[in-house]
Amino acid sequence: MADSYKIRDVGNLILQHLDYMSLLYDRQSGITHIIAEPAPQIIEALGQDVMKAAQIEHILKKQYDVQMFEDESSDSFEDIIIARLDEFVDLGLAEKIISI
Amino acid sequence: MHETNIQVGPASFRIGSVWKEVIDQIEMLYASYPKPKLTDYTVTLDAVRPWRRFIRPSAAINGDFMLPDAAPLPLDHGLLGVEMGVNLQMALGWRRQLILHASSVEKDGKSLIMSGESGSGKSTLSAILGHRGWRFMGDEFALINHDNGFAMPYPRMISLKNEAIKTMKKEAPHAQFGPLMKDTPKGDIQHIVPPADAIRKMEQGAKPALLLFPNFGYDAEIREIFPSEVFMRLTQASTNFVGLGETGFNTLKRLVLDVPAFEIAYQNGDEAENMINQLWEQL
Amino acid sequence: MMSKAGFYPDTWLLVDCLREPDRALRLNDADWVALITMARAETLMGTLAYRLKDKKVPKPVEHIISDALIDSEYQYRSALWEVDCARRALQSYDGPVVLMKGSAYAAAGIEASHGRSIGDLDIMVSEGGLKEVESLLIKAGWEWVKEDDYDDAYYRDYMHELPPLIHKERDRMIDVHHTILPKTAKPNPNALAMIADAIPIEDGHYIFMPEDMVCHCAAHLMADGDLAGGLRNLWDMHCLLSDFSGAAGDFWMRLKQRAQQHELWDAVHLSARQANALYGTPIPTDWMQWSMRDTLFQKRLLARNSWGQQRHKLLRFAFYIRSHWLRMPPLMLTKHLLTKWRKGHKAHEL
Repeated sequence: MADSYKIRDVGNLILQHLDYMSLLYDRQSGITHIIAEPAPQIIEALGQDVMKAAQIEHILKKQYDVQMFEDESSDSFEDIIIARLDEFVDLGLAEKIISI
Repeated sequence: MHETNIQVGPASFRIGSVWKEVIDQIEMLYASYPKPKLTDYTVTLDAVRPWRRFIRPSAAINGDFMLPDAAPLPLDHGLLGVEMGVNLQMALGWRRQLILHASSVEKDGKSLIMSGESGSGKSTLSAILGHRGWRFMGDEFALINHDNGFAMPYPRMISLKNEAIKTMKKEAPHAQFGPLMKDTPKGDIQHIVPPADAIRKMEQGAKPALLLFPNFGYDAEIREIFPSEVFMRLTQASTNFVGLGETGFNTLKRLVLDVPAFEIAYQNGDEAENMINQLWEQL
Repeated sequence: MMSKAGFYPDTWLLVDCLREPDRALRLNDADWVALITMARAETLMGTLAYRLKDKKVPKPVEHIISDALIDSEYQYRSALWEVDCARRALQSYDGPVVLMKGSAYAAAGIEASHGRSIGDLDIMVSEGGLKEVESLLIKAGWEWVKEDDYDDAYYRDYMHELPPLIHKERDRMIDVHHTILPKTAKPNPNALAMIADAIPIEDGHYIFMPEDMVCHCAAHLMADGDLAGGLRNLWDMHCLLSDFSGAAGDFWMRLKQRAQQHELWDAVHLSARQANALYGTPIPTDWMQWSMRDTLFQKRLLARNSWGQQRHKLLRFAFYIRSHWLRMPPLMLTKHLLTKWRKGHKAHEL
């Protein structure tokens, strides 16, 4: 079973798109993160919900042309999403809910 | 302890020194600045050891906000010591505006902000422009208001280094200069009093219209910079961005979204002035 | 009560205004400047700002207070974030992780945290758990501060904590203790009891129970350190005693018993008397026995002048020696001071 993810408190986050990068200010830590696509889109897709990477992938594929990510990388788009989510967990922005 | 008070833009300082000559120099250079009684910060120059007040006098710089292990300076460089102490109070203590390590000038009610490392020429450029039709606002810190995003002046004594001293003696031969301090840790240093209108209007801010990252000593070039890079560079150039939390984030975000930014490389002041005028007219 | 004829150090102004903030409202400009300078030098500006924040103060002071409150808010937020980071890093550690000092006050939301400056994160775990905690922290991104070998050996052999770890991305320090005083110090507090009786708070960490919190604060103030920054630590003591004594009638008796158990009665008693004399902390009448030693301590605590500089250099040096004496047996002390002195000699020209 794949793990699920949840933003710890989406109300604490301010997301600002700039150009190819976006700003993410976290009120709880007071830290500003500068993040590249598709990280901001993942946060927007997750919102307040609990989701698996595959669900996020599904949402993003409906809204964006994600072909470029798959072309650029040997990883699948789902793997890219999981890698970003795990970074969010390490940064204390998200929680991983491990399925057994 | 000998003492004097000075007001620079919105900030005020009480300066104490066991040596009267340092206070005399400050009072001469800051003669036209206000002298408030209730000051924001205290900076002191004290003898490293009691006997060092007289024998090879060596000045320890202290203040409300300090970095551990600040190296003492010979008394001849006392004015530089005060400058460093005052900078440190602003850098570590000030929260009323977002501080950018940048120079700034104003024309037609709009401000040009120039950010860069020391050696980039930002300080000299602001000093030159201050004598060529712009109002000098500051050579070291640009203060960005949280509520309306305006840049506020911080027109301290301009601190000229090495070749910039000669440049400004030619540019403004009648301006008032401080004593020449040779071979300081930052090279030769001499202060110059900003033009009179800079001091008279030091409470008058201006909406930022252009952000520049000057690069002195390279072939002339203008390059536009994207907001995310500007944001990253300015977080590095700000001493209080992190401490301001969400307020600082919002202030910097607005600046970056509202104001076009360019990097300019140049070989001399005239070349930079031409590029700046060109960018300014395109706004 | 202590302002005897001819002895009225500037620092009293700070102490008086902390105790009774309304006193500040009658100050002239020069006194305000002196007050603010001393408060900053004693890292009490945030506390003073918090005490004065709703009062009618001159406009320039309003700005200074507002700056200080913004800074306190930042320190509070960052301290709690470090607590959160440590919680996540140590999730798999079974034993209790006890927060200490500023971080504990902030996490528990007690009065002493209001406006307090909070630096490193201090935590305490049982001595047996040190290794595991150390390796979990390193796994989560903390690393050794580059110390030279002497300092490292000194910490591991004689001190009550691991050499400090710093987080490589956030640049924040954590000190992991297994007791509250160095092994070589004369009082030998019962660390096991402290951990066993610690109280869980909501986020999974623990804090000391009230009596132990006071004991630790007193140990920190009197037995550990050269009393530099003593006024701030004494303010903590004032807040803790005022907070806890209001809650239960037999607090003082339980505090005395607990302090005796930790061999810290002398430190607790002396700190309580100092807090009472300076900040007006209510303490039991039979705890008030002022001595010559108290006067000396008080003089050391009030050594700041209106420029924020330290006075009484000899007295300060005596306290520095004293602080090391309390931590280490004499022979070791000589070795330690000599090593420190040699290093200092290399770094600064005399």
